[in-house]
Amino acid sequence: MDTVLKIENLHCQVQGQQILKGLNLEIKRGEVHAIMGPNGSGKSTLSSVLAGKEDYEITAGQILYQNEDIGELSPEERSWKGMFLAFQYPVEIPGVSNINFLRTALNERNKALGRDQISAKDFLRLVSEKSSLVGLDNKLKNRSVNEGFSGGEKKRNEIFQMAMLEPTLSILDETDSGLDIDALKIVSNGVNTLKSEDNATIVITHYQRLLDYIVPDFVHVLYDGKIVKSGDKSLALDLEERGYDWLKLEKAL
Amino acid sequence: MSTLNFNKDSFSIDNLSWASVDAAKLPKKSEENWRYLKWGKLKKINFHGDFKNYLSNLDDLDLPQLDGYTIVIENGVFNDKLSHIPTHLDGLEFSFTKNNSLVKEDSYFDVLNTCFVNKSVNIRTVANAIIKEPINIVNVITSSEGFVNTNTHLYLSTNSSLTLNEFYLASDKTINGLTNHQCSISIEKEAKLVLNRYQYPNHNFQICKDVILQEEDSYYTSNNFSSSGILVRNDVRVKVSGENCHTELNGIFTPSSNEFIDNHTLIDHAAPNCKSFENYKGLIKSNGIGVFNGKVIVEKDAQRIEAFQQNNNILIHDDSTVYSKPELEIYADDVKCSHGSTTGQFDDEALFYLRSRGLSQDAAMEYLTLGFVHEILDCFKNSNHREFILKKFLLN
Repeated sequence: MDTVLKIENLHCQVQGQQILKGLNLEIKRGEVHAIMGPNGSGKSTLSSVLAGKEDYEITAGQILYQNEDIGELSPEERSWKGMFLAFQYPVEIPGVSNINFLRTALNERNKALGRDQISAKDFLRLVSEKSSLVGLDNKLKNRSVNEGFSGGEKKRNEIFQMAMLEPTLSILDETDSGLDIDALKIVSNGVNTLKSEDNATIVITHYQRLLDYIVPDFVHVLYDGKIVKSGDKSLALDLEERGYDWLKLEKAL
Repeated sequence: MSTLNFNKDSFSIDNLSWASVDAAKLPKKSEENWRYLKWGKLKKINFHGDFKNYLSNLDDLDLPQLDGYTIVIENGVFNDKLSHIPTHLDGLEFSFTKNNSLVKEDSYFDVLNTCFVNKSVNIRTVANAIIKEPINIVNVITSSEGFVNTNTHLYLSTNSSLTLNEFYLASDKTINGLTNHQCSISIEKEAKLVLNRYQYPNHNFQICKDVILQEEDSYYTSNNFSSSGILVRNDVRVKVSGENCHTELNGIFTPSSNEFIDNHTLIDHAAPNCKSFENYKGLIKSNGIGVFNGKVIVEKDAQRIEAFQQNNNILIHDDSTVYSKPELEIYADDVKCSHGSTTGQFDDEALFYLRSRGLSQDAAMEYLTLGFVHEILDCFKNSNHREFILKKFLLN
């Protein structure tokens, strides 16, 4: 199986503060990796630096996406290559309809990749197919991006956008935060349906609960800017039971 | 003390009193109302009078599709050929009369307007007339360094309603012209006026003053879009003299490189039980300067007024400048009033969000711009005109 993402000795700083301190991770096609860790361990920094957020400076190491060093690429270039970040806090963009936004997103990518613009007919067919995955209300499709959406609706909208863009690598940043159990099931179901042999998923989460629904192949614990332990899904259950403190102790020893 | 420069021989206006013109002086920087303005560029021009019609059609002008009736004023003179107003209209009266300015002269430009205006455009609705078709006034300058004065009187009779669209622009190659416009508006009982104004004189100057008087139960909305101009100064003065009035001033101003757009507004609540809403948004591009100075006065006996004023500005570049000064003067004790001003930049997180979905930096900025102005944009009810506005400021 070929590698989608390979992170080597990644050091990253934000506003002069070193957050990631030598992170290694390899993800192959078809795999789901969960990244867990206590508050402040660097989980959100990892998702931001992967997606190319400005001010997140790589001071050492590299990120290889499909064998290409993407450290210098803009967020949109990464998106065009098939990366997708589902935000922990999706941003509200008033005055811009969800549908127009997605159409622009698809067409910007088509333009960048030298493909034809998507026809109105094909686009609408895609919208109807993908929105049913997460049961997104028709009204929400035409509303302004995330404006006035409930927490659950915002997360569903993230997964809907992910479905529309069909990424090769999806990063779900605390997608479970702010979701009730029904919404969690719907969102997880959407993610599972989109999973294939060709793509890969990183699930960043605090809690084991999400992993009951999106079952990971690997679980990694991020602590103080490094992955300190990796295992299979049983590691998540251990963490749920014992918390993170035993790992901190283990690491201190 | 200084004045503008005129090539006096070129002005062929009957009874023009040069003595009055010469006696008037440009406002000084020390005058609070004019403190942000720099006259430098305006004072360098030697303005001439060229009151001729050159245009043979409107196709070369940058205009959206115009529905309804159209009055074209070119270089201050009615262009009969390009205008489209039926000779007889139910409920509407048009006339062109010798100027009799109804605006109290309290600035240099008021004096100039009185001296130089040749004929005023008068539009009067008949009582109870609901005019469905909008009236468009296209005020175009086609003579570089020309000095044009125009004057409109609008009378909305009792229980009538009208929508007026005004376009202020210059023809393609015209530069350094100055249009000095005045508009007096009288809205009688239960009458309703919507005034949409589009200002984009590009490489020219414009001074514009509206004086509005509202009687009881009347409704006034102005939607103002100022997109360009070397120097644009707007003065809006609304006096609400009757009860139960609705007053609404909305604006978008988008000065870019070395442009200056200055909005001064005043809403004077002289009668109780009225509501006013003011919302101006400044999108200040590289090297542009914007001004919002809005004042609301609630007079002593004007109880139960609800007046809300808001000005939000986005500075697109490090070298963008805005001066924002919201003012409230309240002499009544039972009122609900608020004012607010914010100035900032686009949210980096929102920009990152859009780009992470594959929008280029430019496309993402466009969307954020749209998000910023859409409240005001939605006030323009004609969808063609909304598209026109969007193209104007998204593309430059």
